[in-house]
Amino acid sequence: MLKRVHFKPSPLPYFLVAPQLLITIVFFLWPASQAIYQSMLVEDAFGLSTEFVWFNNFIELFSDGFYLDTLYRTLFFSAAVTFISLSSALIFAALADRVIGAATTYRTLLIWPYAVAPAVAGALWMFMFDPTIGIVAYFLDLVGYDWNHRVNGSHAMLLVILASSWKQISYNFLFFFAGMQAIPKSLIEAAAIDGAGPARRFWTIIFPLISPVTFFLLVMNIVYAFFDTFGIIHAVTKGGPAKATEILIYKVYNDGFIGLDLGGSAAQSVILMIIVIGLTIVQFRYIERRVEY
Amino acid sequence: MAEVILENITKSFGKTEVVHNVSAHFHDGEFIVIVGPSGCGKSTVLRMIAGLEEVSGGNIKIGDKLVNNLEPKDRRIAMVFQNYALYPHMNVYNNMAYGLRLQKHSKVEIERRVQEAAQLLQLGEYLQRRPRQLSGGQRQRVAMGRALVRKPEVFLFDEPLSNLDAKLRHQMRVELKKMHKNLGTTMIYVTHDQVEAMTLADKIVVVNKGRIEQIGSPDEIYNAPASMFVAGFIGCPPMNFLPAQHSNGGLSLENGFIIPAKDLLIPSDTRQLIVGIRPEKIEFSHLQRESGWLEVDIDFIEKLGSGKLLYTTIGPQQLILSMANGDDRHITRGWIRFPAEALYFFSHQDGSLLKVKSS
Repeated sequence: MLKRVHFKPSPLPYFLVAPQLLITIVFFLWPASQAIYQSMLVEDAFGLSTEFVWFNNFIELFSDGFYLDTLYRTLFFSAAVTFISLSSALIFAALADRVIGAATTYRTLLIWPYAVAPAVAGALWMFMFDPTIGIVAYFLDLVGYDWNHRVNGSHAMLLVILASSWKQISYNFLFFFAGMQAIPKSLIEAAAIDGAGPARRFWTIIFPLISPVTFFLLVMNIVYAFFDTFGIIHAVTKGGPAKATEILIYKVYNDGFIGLDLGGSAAQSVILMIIVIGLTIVQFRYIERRVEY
Repeated sequence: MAEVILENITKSFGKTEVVHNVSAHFHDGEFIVIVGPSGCGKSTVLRMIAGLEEVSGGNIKIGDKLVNNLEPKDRRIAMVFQNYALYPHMNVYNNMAYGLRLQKHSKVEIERRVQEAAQLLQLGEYLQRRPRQLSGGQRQRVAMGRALVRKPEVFLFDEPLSNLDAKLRHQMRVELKKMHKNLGTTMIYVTHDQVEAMTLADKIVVVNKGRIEQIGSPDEIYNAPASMFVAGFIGCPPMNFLPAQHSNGGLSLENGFIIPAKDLLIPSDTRQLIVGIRPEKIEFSHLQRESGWLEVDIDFIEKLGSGKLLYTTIGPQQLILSMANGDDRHITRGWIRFPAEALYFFSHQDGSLLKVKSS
């Protein structure tokens, strides 16, 4: 049996994919190759001459203590953001799954943060926690805690983690919720008859069954924490104080556009590119295999 | 083992009441089949017994315990779902052992019970497989096994065979009947299939629009239906219904034919009524007959292998005759007779059975 329809060869398919190809070439392949090329250049301070240095920029990066610090900081930041946003979204979805009455309202409210622009979200959290005028800082002060993310690096880190997680919870919630809704109700009922209470039903039935969603979200959240949190960090702390919240993506910006070390910055962005390619491969390779049931 | 008693059960979703005042007494060890068209509330009744739906009014007792406010797990019931509801991420063994583990049985006891059920249901070699690696019939067995290992006092079945093909359905029906014979546990079985109801049940409950139309043994339901609905729902092909009027010497049908009724006592207090007769009770002859016989055209014939169905019309009413094989001639017309003793009479207004005065 023929598995697909066969047409006569025609140039039409090439015309149809041409716009997509063009976009990929102009907006990805070209800049990416430029970045790779740039990452092997060193420019003098006045921009008068450039020198091709092969992989010297990379070697320099990995022998640079600051860069390695940033790398570890990013790993910590990503792990924290991923954990907080995934676990809270899971709890919200599990609760929403049991809500019958005002389900739509509840869901809509939970989805809203996703529609807020990163910079706006950052500004919002910055105001709430502002040491002089912020409402949260005020309450913390009332209970005797001196909050100041402008001078305290740990405070700053905590703040950007919270802000970044908050932004991502909606997205995770949507996927978790859809995954839970897709589980046949009779499975839950069968477990109830078998004697499982709500908590046990969640951990032995629902959670294993949404594991494909969880895995997908895990990868998506790591990507988010690595790359999409720039706006929030820029609005809240600008990477400070004293680089306490400077993650890899922010360092690319800082070194390239503020420090004007174009070669080093390009080398960093190439490393980030490799990371995201790696995550994508993991996503595609394992998502269908590991989580089968 | 336990009896199940329903006392004036009602169920409302919002303002719409879907189950009205259902009362029934199911004895210990009986095989009860609740049958009715889709949307009649039969599944809702079962789910209320299971504790998956709250009752809006009335009492449910299992054994001598009022279970209205008990969780499903505390009702000592087991349920088999239409879509089997097997846990897809667990193998067959774990599917069956899940409930036992939650009941804190010892490992040895769990192993013993699961093996016992697996042997009974011929699942021994599939214990390590996941549900998706099994055929429909095997999944069905696992669902039964999961109910079996719990050793419940009441089994509940929610249309368990409707996802199987016809042959498998018949096979599982027989196995289910055997299982009931061996266990002797009370079973409550919901279906829309009247064949399953007739073959499985000790007692049939016919439900229509959230009300019980009749409760009785299969024979009672078939031979003495309490209403037009029951008569038309049980039996395949269904009972024929013909509107009729009293007239001199019998019952006159819409086409003017008079069923002679001198010796039979027809309910005399109503002029308008509906006459019912089972397809297999109509007498047929292809030889010309005289008085009392009605000449009809045969529109078409359905061959069933073991017999055949003849379709004809009387006025606007379709009439089905069921016949044994034998005469293979192509029949296009013939003469039919309605034996007086095989007639049922129903009220023209509400379809209830009208009593014949003498009986």
